[in-house]
Amino acid sequence: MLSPYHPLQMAVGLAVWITWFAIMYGALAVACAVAPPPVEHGVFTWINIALLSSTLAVTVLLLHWANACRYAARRGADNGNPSRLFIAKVGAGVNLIGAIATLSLGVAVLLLPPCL
Amino acid sequence: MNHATGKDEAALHAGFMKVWGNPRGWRAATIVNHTVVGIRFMVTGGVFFLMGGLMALLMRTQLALPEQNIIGPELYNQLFSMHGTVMMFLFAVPALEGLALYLIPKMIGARDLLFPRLGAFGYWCYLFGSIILMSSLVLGIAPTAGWFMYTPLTNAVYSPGPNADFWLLGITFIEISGVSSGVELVVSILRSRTPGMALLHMPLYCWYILVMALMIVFGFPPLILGSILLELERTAGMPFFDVARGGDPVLWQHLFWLFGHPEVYIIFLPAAGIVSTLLPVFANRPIVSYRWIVLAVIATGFLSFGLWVHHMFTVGLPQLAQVFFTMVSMLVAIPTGIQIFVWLATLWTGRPVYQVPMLWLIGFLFIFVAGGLTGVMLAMVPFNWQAHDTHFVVAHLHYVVIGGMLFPFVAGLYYWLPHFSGRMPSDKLARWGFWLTFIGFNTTFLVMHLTGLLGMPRRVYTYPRGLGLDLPNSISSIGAFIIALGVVTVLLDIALHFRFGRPAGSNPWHADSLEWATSTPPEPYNFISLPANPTRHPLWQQPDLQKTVAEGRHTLSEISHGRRETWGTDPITGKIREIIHLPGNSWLPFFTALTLSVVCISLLVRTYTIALIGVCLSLVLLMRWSWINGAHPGAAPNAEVKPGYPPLHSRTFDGPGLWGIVITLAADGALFLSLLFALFYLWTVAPHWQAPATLPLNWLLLLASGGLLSCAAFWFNRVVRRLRKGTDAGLQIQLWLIALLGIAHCVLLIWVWTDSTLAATLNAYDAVISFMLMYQLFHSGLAVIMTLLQALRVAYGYVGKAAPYEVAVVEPWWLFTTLIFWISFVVIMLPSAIAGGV
Amino acid sequence: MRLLKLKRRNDRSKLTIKSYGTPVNHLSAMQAGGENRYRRKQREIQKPGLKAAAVIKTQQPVERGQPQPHHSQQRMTLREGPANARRKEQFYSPLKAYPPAGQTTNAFRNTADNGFSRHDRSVAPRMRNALPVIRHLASAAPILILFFLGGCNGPQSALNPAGPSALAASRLWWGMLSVSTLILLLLVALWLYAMWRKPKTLTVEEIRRINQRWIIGGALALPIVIIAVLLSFGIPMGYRMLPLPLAGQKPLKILVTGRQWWWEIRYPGTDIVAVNELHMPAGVPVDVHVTSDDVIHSFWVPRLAGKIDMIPGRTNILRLEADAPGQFRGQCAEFCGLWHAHMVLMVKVQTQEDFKAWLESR
Repeated sequence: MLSPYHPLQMAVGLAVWITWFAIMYGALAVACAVAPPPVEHGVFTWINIALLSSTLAVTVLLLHWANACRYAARRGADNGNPSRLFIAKVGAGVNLIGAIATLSLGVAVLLLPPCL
Repeated sequence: MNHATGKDEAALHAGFMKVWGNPRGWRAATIVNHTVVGIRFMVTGGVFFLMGGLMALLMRTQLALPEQNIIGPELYNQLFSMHGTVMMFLFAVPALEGLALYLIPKMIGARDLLFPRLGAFGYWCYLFGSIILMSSLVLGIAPTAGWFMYTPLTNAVYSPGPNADFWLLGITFIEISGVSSGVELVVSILRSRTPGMALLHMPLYCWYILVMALMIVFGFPPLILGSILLELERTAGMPFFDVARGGDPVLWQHLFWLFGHPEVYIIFLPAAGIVSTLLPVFANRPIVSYRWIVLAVIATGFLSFGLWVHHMFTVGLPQLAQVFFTMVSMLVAIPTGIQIFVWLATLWTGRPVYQVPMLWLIGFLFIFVAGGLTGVMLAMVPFNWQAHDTHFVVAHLHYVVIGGMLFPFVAGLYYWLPHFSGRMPSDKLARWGFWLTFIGFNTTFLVMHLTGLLGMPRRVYTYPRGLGLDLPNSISSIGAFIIALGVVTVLLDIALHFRFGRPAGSNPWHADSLEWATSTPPEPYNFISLPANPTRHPLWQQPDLQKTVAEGRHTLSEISHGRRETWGTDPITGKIREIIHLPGNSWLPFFTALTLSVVCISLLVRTYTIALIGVCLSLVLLMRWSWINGAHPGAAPNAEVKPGYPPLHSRTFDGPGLWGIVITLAADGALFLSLLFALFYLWTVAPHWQAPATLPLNWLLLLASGGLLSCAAFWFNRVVRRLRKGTDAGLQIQLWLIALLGIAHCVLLIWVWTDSTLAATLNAYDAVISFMLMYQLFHSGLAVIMTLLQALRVAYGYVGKAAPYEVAVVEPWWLFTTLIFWISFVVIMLPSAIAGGV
Repeated sequence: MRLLKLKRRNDRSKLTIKSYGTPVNHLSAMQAGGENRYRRKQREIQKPGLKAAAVIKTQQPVERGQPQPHHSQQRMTLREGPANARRKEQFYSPLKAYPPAGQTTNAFRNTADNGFSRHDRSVAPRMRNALPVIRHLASAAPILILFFLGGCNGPQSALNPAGPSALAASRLWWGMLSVSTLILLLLVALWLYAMWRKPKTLTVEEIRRINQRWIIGGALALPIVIIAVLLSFGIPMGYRMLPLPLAGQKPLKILVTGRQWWWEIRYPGTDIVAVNELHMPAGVPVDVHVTSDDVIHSFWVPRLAGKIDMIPGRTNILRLEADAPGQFRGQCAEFCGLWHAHMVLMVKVQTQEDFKAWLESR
């Protein structure tokens, strides 16, 4: 895994989010083109469940990274070099926002049937 | 390092001017200095702003009363199309980029941007492209299909004239300028900060510009691709967007808004950067939470790429997808909210002084927040279905764009006026200008929300009596003229201040950032000596910085070598890595842009032989451009530096050029990704999509071609690795051979193509694959040309063990070319693999 | 040659504009495929729908007596169709293509007279001879009052809902408007107060706390709460607007095809083809299946529901429902070329009995 002090931490959380979003959006279109479940089945179709589990997986991953960055920032607070600390702190925020963004998109999956 | 005291200031200045000075007269077209280029961008942008405003006034006159026929629908359609286009592409982006080009080096303590010739080239592309585009209006054949250019209205059937071509070619030309400035800004911010300025010390404005520039790099390519595809559909009949032949018009909307929404943030972020720069100065305290702002800026940059579909809620997309985009559209309120509340907290805890720029900032806050709130409303799908494509959206977008861009921009203009001219603006006239604009703005656009909800669609040249639209439209029209009055007052104020403004002295606002350590107005070299800067507020901590800089008490103040130099520093820590030497004034940018504009015009009038000659000519010019580099006598033949200083960048493996090519390839990669998106989108969505069950081309030959390409790239990589180890034995012959391999690869590729059964005008699949092959050939061809050029440079002795840099710069191009080849290969094989017919 | 022919045909036929009299509509009826068949249909359709007065109004001299260069040119353009590129000069010399001022205006006046000029009639006669601008400004006073009392009640106003979808959207709007106004005023007030209050000397710790309070309260909690509330209202609301299958009944299906610059309306199971006029029954859901034959248009009848795009190659479905009989004006909402502003649709909602009778009388 990327070190919590790596400069890419300032982008990676949201980059993961946007990649996941693009894949999910594409996969939804493909799934609905290939094997659309009927609307009457409501929310809990295989598509929604798959999307929801990917949401949760990505959220947990991003939260984990956010926590790693936060921990690193706190641990290095006394003697770390300021650039590294700055990166870890911003990285924690970026990963956290990535997690929030992922989760809030996942909520949508609970609200609507997939192929409407 | 040099801490000698008491150098003769005048002598230093004279020495620097000999190297950095700007020529006058017709040779002024050769100037590459960022101060001049930045001001040119802003002034040209300002002129187009006035033209765009004039168009708006004409439209408002037409709409002032119902059933008027002052300007008929044909002209009206031209006007609204051009108004949007001019304001977005010819004013907002270039003006903000101009300000950034002007300010960034000064804020980070550098003497110039790192690719000065590219900056100048960008300006000339912008100027010529804009002139071509505007000429269409004069000729009465301006684009009529809106700045969004939806197909099928813009295809050859429904827009047979050259109107749409003007847009597609002109805007693509201007976007090249945008991307080149974007690349230049990214690399300059990351690699040329003054020693000790770590990322966390950067002025906030630099963060905003860094994110904006990266957004340009990733956001413009989808539209560039879309424009190329649409132009190919119009001229060569390749049916990317034609339903009957397997395309889909909605693909254009996706590509357009994939650019179009980031674009809104591309113009909002630098403006917000101005706010974050000005507010702490006028609140007399540092911004309360630097890190929160950085976080918000990064988050905005990413989130803005995930909400383009909210422009397409009425297209009939799947509901779940719409909810995703509703979510992101609302989430983006969070980073914006963070910025607004950090600004509020800064004011709250500071000691605000009430100056003219502050007035514009208050105006910004009111208007932009109102626009943001209507934006949240529009993200609600049920409401969007009513408000979409009505005057409600017109009102919303003007609140966001005028509030979010123009008001901060004018605030910034007033703030930096003393920097541009050395004089202060008048207080009284400036206040009149603000209040007229502010009142006029709200008169025009507040009521326009209602106009839209009362049922007035956008882009109608008139409306009937009796719908209740008469009065709100009249009010809007009156407001428009009040805005015009306000703008004139501001312009008058600025014009008069050059003559009557009182001298500003240095740092009139008691600002904290390094740009105020130059003289006002600045000299072309910015700083005689470059101060080490391990703090966020250098001028608050060292108020005499301007003096010590001018006296040459800091670093890199030698000039006898005759090179334009600035520090190359580490992107994170700001530690010194090398000395970057910059090219001087040159005719090349001007003539390259001129040749390209000839290409653009000849494509417009469809004389393809002249276009081909133009392309070849510009290729020659570009090769000449890259010839005068590194150890060339015109660049830095003598690599000697002061003892204790690091080497020149052209004698290392890690100069700005390498960063430049990587960022350029990122833009290129975004274009390729957009192409893949287009392919897969059509595949899943287009109603009449047909992918062949059998391969349309000879895959074994294609495989062989790829094998040759991979060999060449691998070999090139080995050459660079050996160079890194300090061996340049056989460098020249190896480069020649690699180029030969590349040529063989291209020949095979052309063979595959001509041998194939692809019918690019009959079927969208074949059109996309043909475009992919073209794209590949373009990259392979350029790789070969660059390698040949390097081999020749080795022969001349400009490249070798001592100056290995340029070979390392070419390497990423080879790797990228190989990568896209194999991705394309898989994509081409995919449909028949699925059908089982390989 | 062709131009002449069309013109003559135009003169001969007594039929003029059926519904709203915009020149374009007129053309459209003529040019849609085999003219004669369509024309007959047209006349039939119009009989029950329009009041006699309206018919007479539309047959004003504009239509018959005056030469109509732009109409015919217009039609030429249309007729040649997508396959052949249109004639260049029409596009290169736009000025020629403008309609003479009087015509459009008259055509519009017809539109207005078709029962939609509530506001204007009260004002216009008195001021008729004054300069238009002065007349208009003077007319502002009574209108201003109307504006505040019931300015939202235009015949094409989304704020004057006449069906459940439009009602929901307008309620959503008023709700969002009040909350937004509150937030805006609060924020500006805070900002101004922060600027003009007496500065205090604060410790670093206090500043940190103030900042954190603002960010957590204002930038995180506030938007998240608002987003949650909005979505909890908005998503179910949007869901109810969708053309979902209904228990027990099958909604009436109407096909609408957009063309530059007119609407073709068909009722499946019948051979009725209407132009620019959509009949539907009140009180029951109707599914409008929309598509386009040329460029992208957008189907929008603000008083009944939101809009949906009409895209070549696709069919989108919009559910309409009107509470009571009446006439509702609709207009193309996606820019579709030169005469976009005149692509008007009239929706005539009848009682279910009347509608059935109308349908059967075809």
